[in-house]
Amino acid sequence: MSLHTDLLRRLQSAARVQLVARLTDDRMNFPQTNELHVFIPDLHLITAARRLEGGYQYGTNYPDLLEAVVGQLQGLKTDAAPAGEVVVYQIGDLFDLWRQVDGLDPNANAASAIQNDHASLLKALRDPDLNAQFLLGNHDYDLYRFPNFDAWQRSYVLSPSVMLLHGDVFDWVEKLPDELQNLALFLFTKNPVGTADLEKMRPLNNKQRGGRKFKKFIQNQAPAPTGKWREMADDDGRNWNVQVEGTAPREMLLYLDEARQKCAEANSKFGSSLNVAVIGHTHHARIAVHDGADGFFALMDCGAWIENCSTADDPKPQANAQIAALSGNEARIYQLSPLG
Amino acid sequence: MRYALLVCALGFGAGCAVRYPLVVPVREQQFRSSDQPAALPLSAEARAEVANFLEHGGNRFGRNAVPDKQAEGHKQILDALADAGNLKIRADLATSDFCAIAAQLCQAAPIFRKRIAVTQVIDARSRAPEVPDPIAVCDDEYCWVFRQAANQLTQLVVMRSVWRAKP
Repeated sequence: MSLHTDLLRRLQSAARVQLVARLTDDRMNFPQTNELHVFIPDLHLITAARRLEGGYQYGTNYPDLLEAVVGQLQGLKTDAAPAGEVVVYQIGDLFDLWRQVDGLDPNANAASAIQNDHASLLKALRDPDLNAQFLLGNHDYDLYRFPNFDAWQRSYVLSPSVMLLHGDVFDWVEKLPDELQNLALFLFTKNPVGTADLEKMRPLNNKQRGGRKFKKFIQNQAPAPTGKWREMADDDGRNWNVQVEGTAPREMLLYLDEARQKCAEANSKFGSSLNVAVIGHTHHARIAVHDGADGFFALMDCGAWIENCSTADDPKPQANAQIAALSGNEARIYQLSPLG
Repeated sequence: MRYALLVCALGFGAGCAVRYPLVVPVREQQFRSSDQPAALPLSAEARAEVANFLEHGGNRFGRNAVPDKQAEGHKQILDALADAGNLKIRADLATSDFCAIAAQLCQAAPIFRKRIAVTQVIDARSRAPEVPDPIAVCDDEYCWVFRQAANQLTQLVVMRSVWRAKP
């Protein structure tokens, strides 16, 4: 029994589970079978009143299901210890401050208002026994200013080879002047970025907002194509729906090159050996791989819990509700939907 | 003209300055009205405990009574907090205006008018920040820290403020 199997059982007790993608490859260089890292991507929570007032087309999908899943993750973590370690991450854009308020009023209590409106979900996610780790996304970047959220990070390195970050940095990193390029590259190290660095990068983050309102969509005007999903009963344990550079459509490879390039830069500058990146941000669940003479690199985009996706079998929009996991050189993305 | 330029420069500087949210730290035992927050609406016993704390200058272990400059306002607060009808709030509002959040309470206890709601309450005894966030509102001498759930104020602890008015 692996921790992947334990996780799947737990998820199946709370949700219908389909396999979006699986990559098993020793070249990921993340062999730890006694560690399971679970990634919950973008939720973009706002208050119900604000959604109505702002006329936002999209809200968070299946918050009750997610709360049940988080409860299962806590059970898994407890059961797995001490032989196994389960670490749960919410990888940014948990809150959508950009949609909740029009500008940053330092005392506007926007994060608290959202948290109060989704109290039971947030209580589960922020339970000290779950000890979930949180990343700041672009839509909740300003949380670093709030003491009750300032333990949140911009990136994590899962030693030895995995870079975990929200992914928005790839929107703008190539456009930066040298000084800020170095600052951005600092995200790709084990050192946590300090408040002063976050403050320096804040204008860049706000520039991305660019006055947009995000009423009709945030990332994807059309459902994100996710290839073919597999029912777990049909699963044969082999790689599934992996998008390989050279054969996969271009849209399935978004940020693969950028992530590979930045990890390579960090490897050469800081002596690391990063060759897997785990991101959210794009709301487009997929595993993409570069496999060439110059090396191997994998990008796992964990998807979202907002907006829609479609499969190759069924163009009908389906609510994004993905969760991803990594353990023992195996990465998986699941699509969840309510039971019954 | 010079004065106008100065005001302009100060205004511009303040606008660009890094501003962080207000924080209310939970104070040491003697400066808190009770160890555990009192349930709301206030019972006669809990009310007496808070009143006693205020009468001793916000020092629970103090021996001498200290005149309370805001005694009238504090009495109104305690009266209001004994009535369940005043405990309804709008916790989902992204505002720092306490009276927008707790309209009924403000009506019954005008001392809270134009006061700022602070949701960053730091309690070093806790393993993690509380969810949902407590809401604190400070008058001239005391911070009133409310726990809340489902758009109701549910518990209260009063602390002597770190910031005190000049004697």
